[in-house]
Amino acid sequence: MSLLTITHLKVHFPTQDGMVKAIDTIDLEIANSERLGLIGETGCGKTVLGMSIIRLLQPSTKIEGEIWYKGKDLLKLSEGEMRKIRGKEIAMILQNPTTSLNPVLKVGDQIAEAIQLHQGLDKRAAREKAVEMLESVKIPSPDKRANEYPHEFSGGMKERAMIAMGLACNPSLIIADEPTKGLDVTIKMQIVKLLKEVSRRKSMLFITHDLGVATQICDNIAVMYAGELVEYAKTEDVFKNPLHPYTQGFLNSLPNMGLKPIRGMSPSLIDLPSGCRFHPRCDHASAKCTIEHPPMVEIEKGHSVRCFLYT
Amino acid sequence: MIEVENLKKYFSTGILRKRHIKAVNGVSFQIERGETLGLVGESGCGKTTIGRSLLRLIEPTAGKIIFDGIDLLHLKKKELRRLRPRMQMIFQDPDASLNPRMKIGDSIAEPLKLQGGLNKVEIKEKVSELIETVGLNPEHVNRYPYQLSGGQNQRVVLARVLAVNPDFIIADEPTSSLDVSVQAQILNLMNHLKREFDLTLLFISHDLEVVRHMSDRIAVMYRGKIVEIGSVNEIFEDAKHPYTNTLISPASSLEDQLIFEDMKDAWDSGCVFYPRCPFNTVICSKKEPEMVEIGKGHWVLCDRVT
Amino acid sequence: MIEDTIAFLKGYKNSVIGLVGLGILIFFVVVAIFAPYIAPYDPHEMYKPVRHPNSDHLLGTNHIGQDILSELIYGTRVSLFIAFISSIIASYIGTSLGLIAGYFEKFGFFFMRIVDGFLAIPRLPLIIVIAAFMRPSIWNLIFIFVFFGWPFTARIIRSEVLSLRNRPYVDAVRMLGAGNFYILCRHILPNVIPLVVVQLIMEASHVVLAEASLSFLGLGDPTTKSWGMILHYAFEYPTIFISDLWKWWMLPAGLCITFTILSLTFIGYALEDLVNPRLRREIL
Repeated sequence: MSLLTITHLKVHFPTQDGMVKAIDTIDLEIANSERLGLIGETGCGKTVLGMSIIRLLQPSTKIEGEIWYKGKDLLKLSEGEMRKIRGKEIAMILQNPTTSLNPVLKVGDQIAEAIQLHQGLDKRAAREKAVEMLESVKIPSPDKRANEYPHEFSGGMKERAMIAMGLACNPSLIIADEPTKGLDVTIKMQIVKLLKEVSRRKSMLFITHDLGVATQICDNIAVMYAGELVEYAKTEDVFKNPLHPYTQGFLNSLPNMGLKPIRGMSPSLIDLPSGCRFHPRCDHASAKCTIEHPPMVEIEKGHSVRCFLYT
Repeated sequence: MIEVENLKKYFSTGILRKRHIKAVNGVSFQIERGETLGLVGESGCGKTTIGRSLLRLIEPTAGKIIFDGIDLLHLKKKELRRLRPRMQMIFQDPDASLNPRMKIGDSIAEPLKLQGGLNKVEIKEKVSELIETVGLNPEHVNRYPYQLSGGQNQRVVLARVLAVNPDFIIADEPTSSLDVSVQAQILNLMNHLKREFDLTLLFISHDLEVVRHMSDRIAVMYRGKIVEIGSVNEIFEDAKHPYTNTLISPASSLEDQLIFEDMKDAWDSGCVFYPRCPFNTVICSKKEPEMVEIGKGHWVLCDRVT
Repeated sequence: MIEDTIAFLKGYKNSVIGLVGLGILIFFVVVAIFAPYIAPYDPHEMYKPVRHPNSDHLLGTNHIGQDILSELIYGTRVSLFIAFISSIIASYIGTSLGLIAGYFEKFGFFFMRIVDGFLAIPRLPLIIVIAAFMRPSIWNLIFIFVFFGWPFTARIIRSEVLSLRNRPYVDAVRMLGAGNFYILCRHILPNVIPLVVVQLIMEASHVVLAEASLSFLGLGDPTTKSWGMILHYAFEYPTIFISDLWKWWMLPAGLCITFTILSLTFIGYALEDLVNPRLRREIL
C-alpha cells in the first residue's frame, strides 16, 4: 500500500526571465516503509519536489496535480491543516544544518519546540524528550549537549541534531534533502548509517546527488533529469542494469567508475529542449528523440524508463 | 620544482584571550616538474592553507618554500609580483573566481593586458584561441559569469590561468561545487591541459577517488600534518597510516569518532590522530611520532609501523 | 557598460516607487534650473508686506513684501544645490578613503577609529554649534555637511571592500600579477559604485533636512533664499499661527522639503533593490 502518491505534479515558478518549469509532470509513489532515493543534479528540480510535498514553496508558484497522503490530497488542504501534517506526519531534514538551526537558541530547546508544538507536552516533558532524541541520534552526553548552542556542535553533530529534530514527533514520512552534503567522508558514512537506522519501518524520500550514499540507504531509486523522472528501479538494478542513457552516463562519470563525462550540460528549466529532454547530450539520439517526448514505460516489474530505445 | 620544508601557519583568534590554531603544523614535501601531487584531507585539516601559503596569498608563520630554486619567503614584494604569473591557483567556487561585472572575454584578456607586449588584435586572437582550448564557444566571450554554468565558469578560469603560461598550478577543490557529470568534464580537461602545457600540479581535494584519478603521488593530511605520502599505488594498495585506511574505506571504522570530536581543541600533545586512532597506545598520546620512510618515497607519520 | 546601463534602466522602469521618486525629483530640478523663467518676481523685490494670496501674488508676500512663490522657486535652487554639491563631495571623499581603509588593513584599523569618533558625535547639534561660529554662507554650509557626511559613506564602503577584498576573484587577479592600485580601481571600485550611488542619494536627503534645520534656526545665509530661510522668517513673524498666514507662508516650504526628501528616499529604495543582486535575481 502506498503512503504517498504523486500524480501529474507540475510546479512552475514565474521569474523575470520566464517560467521556470522546475517540475514538469512527475508521477511517483512511496510505499509504506519504503526508502526511495531521488537522484539528480543541481537544478533538476529534486529539491522542489520535496518542498512541494511539504508545501513550503513561495505563494507565486503554480502547482498542478495531486499529492495523496493517507487519503488526503495535500495540495487541497488549508494552511492550518497542512501545519498539523508538517513535522508531525511528514518531517523534512534540510540541506544545510548550519543555516537551518537557529544560532541563538539552544539545540535542546529547538528540538523541544517541535515536540511541544505537535504533541501538547509541557515544557519539562518536551525537554526530556528532546534529550532522548539527541541520545537516539547518538550524540554523546546528550543532556549536556542539549544546553549548547549550534555553533558549539561540529558539522556532523549539527546534522544529527537536525535528524533528531525531524524525528522528534515520530513522523511516518521523512523527506531528507541532501543530508550528507558538505560533510567529510568519514562523518558522511556515520550519518548514512544513522539515517538507515532511524528510517527503519518508516517511509523516506531521500533526495541527493550522491549515488553512493543513496545505494546504501534506499530500496528504490528514481533518477530525475530536467524536471521529470527518467528512470525508476530497484537500487541494485540501477547499478547493474541502468537503462536510460542519462543514468548510464551519470554512473560512468563517477570518479570510481572511470570518470567518463556526459557531454554538454543540463538544460535550463526555462527553455527545455524539444522531444526527449536528454537528446542534445545523448549518444543514441535519433530523429524521433528530437521531436517526440518519450513516455515512461515499465520494461520489467519495478523498472521503468523514459527512452525510445526500449519501446 | 617546489620544495616545502617544515611549513607552519598559525592563526590566532580572540582579542583578549589569544588562542592559536595550528592550521598547518610543520609540513614538508616536494613536487617534481611535470608531476601532480594530490593533497587529501577532511575540511579544516589545513590543505587550503597550504595552497594559499605556497603562493603567499597568506604569509606562513615559519618554514621554507623553494620554487624553481627561488626562496619564496625571502622575496621582495616587487620580485614576488613578477614571479607570480608562473604560479597560479584555481579556486573551489568558479562563479566567485570571476569578477561578476566583467565579461568572460575581458576576464581572460586581463592577464594578457597586465603582462603587456600584445596589441588589441593579438589579445583578441589569443583569447579566442584560449577559449577554444578549454572547450568553450566563441559566443561566450560576451557573456557575464552569472549567465554561464559552474562548469563553464571553471573553464573560463582555466583559460585565464593558461593565458599567463604558468609552470605550476594549485587546484583547490576545483570541482567540489560541480555536478558529477560536469566534474568529469573538468577533470578530464585538466588532465589534458596538464599534458599539453607541461604543467606541474598540486591538486587539493577531500575526495580520495578524484585525487586518485588526477595524481601521480598523494599526500594525506590530518589536522595540520601530513600523515602519509606516497605514490597512488602505495596509498591505495599499501596504506600504512590508520587514517589513510579510514579514508579509503570509510564505512569500516571510526565508530567512536564523535566522542573525540568533543576533545578536538584540548588535544595538544602526542600524535594528531591519537584520539580517533583504533590502534592507539599510551605512548601515542605523549610522544609525537616522526615521519618514517618505509619504502622509496613512501613516508608515514606513525610510530606503529616501525 | 552600455548593456549594464540598459539593463539597469529596464529594471528601474519596473519600480513604481522609483519612478514616482524620480518624477518628483525631476520636477524640482527643472524648477531649480529654470527658476528665473518660472518665478513671477525677483524674490528680493519688495511689494506690500504680508498680503494674502491674490491674483498678483499667488502665495501672498512675506513680512517685508517679497513674493513667497518666487522665494520658494529660488529656494529650490539653493536647497538642491547645497544638497547635491555636498553629497557628491562627501561621497567622493568617503569612497576614496573607504576604499583605502578597506583594502589596507593596518591603515584601515586606525582610520576607522577616527571615523568612529566622527560617528559618535551627534551630528546635528555639532553642526549647529559650528555653524553658529562660522560666518553663514552657502559654501560654509557645504563645508560643514561634507565634513560630517563623509564618515558614513567611508564606513559603508569600507565594510563592502573588506568583503570584496577576500573574494577569490581578487586573489585570482593578484595571482596574475596585478598590483594593489590596479585591483582597487579595476576590480573593487566598480563593485562598490552602486553602493556609492545609493549612499549619495541618502546623503543628499540628509543634507536637505540639515540645511533646512540650520536655516530655520537662523544659521543659514540670510541673503540667499532657501526653504529653511523661508520657514525661519515665517516662524519669527509674531502672528503666524494665530492667523491664516502659515497656510501659504510655511506650509508650501515645508511640503517642498518633505517631497524632496521623499523623492530621494524613493529613489534610494528603488536603487537599492536594483543594485543588490540578491534581491534582484531571485530564481527558485
